Amino acid sequence: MNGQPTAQARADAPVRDARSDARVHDLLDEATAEHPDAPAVADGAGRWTYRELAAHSHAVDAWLEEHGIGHGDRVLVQLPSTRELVALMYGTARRGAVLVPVNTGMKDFHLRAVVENSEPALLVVSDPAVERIAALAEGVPVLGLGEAWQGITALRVRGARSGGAEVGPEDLAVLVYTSGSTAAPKAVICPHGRMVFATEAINLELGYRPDDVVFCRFPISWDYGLYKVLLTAAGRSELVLADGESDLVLLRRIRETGATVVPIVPSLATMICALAEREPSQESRVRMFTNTGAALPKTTADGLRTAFPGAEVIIQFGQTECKRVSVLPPSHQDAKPDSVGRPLPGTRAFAVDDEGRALPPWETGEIVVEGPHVMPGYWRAPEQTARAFRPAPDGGLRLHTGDFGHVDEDGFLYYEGRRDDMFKHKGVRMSTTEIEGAATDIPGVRAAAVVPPAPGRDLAVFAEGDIDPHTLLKELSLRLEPAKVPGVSRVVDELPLTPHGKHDRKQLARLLEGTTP
Amino acid sequence: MWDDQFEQILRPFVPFLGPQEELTPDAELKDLGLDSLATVQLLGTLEEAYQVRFRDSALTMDTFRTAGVLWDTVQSMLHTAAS
Repeated sequence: MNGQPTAQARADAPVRDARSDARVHDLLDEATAEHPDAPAVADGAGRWTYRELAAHSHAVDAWLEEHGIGHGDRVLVQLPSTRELVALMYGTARRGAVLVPVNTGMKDFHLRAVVENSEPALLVVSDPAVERIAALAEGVPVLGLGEAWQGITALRVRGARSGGAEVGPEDLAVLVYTSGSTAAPKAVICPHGRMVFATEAINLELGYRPDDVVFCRFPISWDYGLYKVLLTAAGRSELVLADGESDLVLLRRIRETGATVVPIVPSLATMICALAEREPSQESRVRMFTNTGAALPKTTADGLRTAFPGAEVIIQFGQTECKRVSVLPPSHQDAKPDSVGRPLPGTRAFAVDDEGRALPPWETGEIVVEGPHVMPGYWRAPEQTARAFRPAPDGGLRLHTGDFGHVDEDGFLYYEGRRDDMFKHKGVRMSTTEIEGAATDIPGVRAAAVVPPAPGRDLAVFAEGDIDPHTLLKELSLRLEPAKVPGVSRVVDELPLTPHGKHDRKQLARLLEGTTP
Repeated sequence: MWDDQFEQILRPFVPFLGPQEELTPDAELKDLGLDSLATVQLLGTLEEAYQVRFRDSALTMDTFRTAGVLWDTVQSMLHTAAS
């Protein structure tokens, strides 16, 4: 294995600019050509080299062709994050089909909406879920991974290849469903070229290397996990898929796998710190933690640095609509501790006023983003697309992030908050609307209002109706992924309203004061 | 059955269980709202309160599946420590 770093972005002059004309599977094929026998991806059951991963992805391509999947067809997968899913991802890309990865925690309540919206030609799910999901997929073929993988393995053993497919950088590779300001999830359209650009631009800042082992605790259905697959290929690094493992052994797994890079969100960092207090001062190879999802409290960042001497903690900022907005390089952390970083190389991000004019440094406005990483919009949601993705004055698209903040004189970004009802909880983006939508689906609930978390106050739901607070939470947990289930639940006689007839969240927040999260 | 301290420690980690509702040995803690961060924090809290250390083999989600299993695990460590 070649241990020479290929992209020491921070130390040397950039090797080359990020490309916007490549396809997702080009990243895999280039890594395979350079380092065929280097480890590519590992999970709890084993490990593949780049050569093996590429062979599996070709088999997936041929298998999809056998199943009549062609250009632009959606392939919905609700699967744990294993090597098989990585092969499905690259194989679907080769086919020119569109992967729709769905969180294994997504409940039927949302899954039905996602199936309706994405109109898949094929669903691949875990074996025990086949019957349940077939019932809501209305005639679309639903296959268990076990059966699918037998077919794929048979093709791989024969070294089968598909008849080939024309795939261009503008073609769609993935639909990433995220929480929107509507009750149902909506999908960000992710074409090949823009995904590769985002990947390579991020790697110019982070500098993944062939000797890196990237420990990914996040599911591939989340874009944070999804891009780790691409980033490790771009860096010729090894990806360790650790989603689904017991978090109680997180720290041990980080040490055992020889992880050098650990992507985190604040709650994961808190867990790692708590475990490190139990088992301090052991050897580890971690050189870099990369944070996203929400602001990382300084105490948590310091906790990581204490538990992993020499490791850097890198702050990042972004949203699926452009994958990532900015990265704060460690060399600038001391000078700009409150910044969320500078725009990715080859992109722009700045604050604008209500008329879309760029604001001078230190003036607060909506953060907008331009560049080849801005995705073309939301899938089959023209109104929401037109709101968030507007024509840029200099051509291309300008993403209106809905985030408010400012830049400093060096162009570094500072995040101040959200304009709408979106917020983050446990690192996951969500909206009050979607939780309220799930709450009013519960029998007995007449109306519901959600109050986002704030310092000293947990995410809370208020409901009007015949239900007790704990049943409300239990019922919500049947409809929403765990991160979206509030920690506090109250049933009131009547929800307070503002003079405009909206939920009076300020008054509700006052009701929560004095409660501990 | 467990001691009062155990139940006092556990209840704040299972927000879907009403204060008047009984904590039963077989109830799935995950269904009562125990998430992964809470599991890690619960581990630390129990170790400190009972002055025990969970063995590596006990660091599985199975150990934290129900109150009954978790209490058995804590108790077995207490006995080992006492003998």
